Amino acid sequence: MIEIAIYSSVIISFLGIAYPILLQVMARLDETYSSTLIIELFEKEPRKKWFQIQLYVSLFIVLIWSLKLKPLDAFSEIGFFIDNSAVILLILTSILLVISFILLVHRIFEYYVPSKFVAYLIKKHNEEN
Amino acid sequence: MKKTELEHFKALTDVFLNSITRKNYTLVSTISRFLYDAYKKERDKAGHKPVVYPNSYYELIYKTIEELAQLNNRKFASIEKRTVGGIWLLGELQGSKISDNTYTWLWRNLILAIQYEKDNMILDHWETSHQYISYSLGFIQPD
Repeated sequence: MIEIAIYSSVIISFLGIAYPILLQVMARLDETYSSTLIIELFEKEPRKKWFQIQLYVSLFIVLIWSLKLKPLDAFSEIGFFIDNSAVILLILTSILLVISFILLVHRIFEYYVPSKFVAYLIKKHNEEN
Repeated sequence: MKKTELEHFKALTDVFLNSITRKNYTLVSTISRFLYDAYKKERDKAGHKPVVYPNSYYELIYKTIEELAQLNNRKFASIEKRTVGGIWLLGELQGSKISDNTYTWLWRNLILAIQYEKDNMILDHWETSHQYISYSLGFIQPD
């Protein structure tokens, strides 16, 4: 049980760091480029949206897991996966959350370094045309 | 052209103007190379028809001229040539036709240069325009 608690603490700590980081990113982008359009573009980034969704889902799973609900009798014959569904979901969502955070950080690096950001914008523009 | 298609171009415009203000020559040159190709792509798409660029393309040039006029930095002379000089809009002797939109914006750009009293920019404009007209008008065989 202690091992499982690590996953929930990972999720909770992401909740603690994610928003200050995102806020700092916005301030830094504004300072670097002085453009509201670029901030809006970052807001629309699929990786940012995906990370936020992932965070909410993970928090919901932590809640479900902490309730320690008993499996329903109707599914009792299915066995291990149903009995431990909350734990399995908790492990899965926390792994996905870490992955989506790493992807988001990579995107933030691209936005921070002007030469990388220009290359990224050119690539996106060429893809769309 | 869809709205989303131009979001990245508009963001590039902001980065371009910001790089000019901060005198980041490397970045200005990188974006300028991309822009040359972007305008050429639109001319190629138009074929023998008059070229109508998306509005953001015209606005980028107008805003750039405004930024350059205030800076008065000769290191950006090549960018002046491409913007107020009309190289991005007219191309380099590629025989593309000017649309009413492009024609209007060429005048707007020239008026902006006049308002800022930038003689070098005005000369750039007439130099390219003269070249364009000389190239586009057919040769008249004398009797």
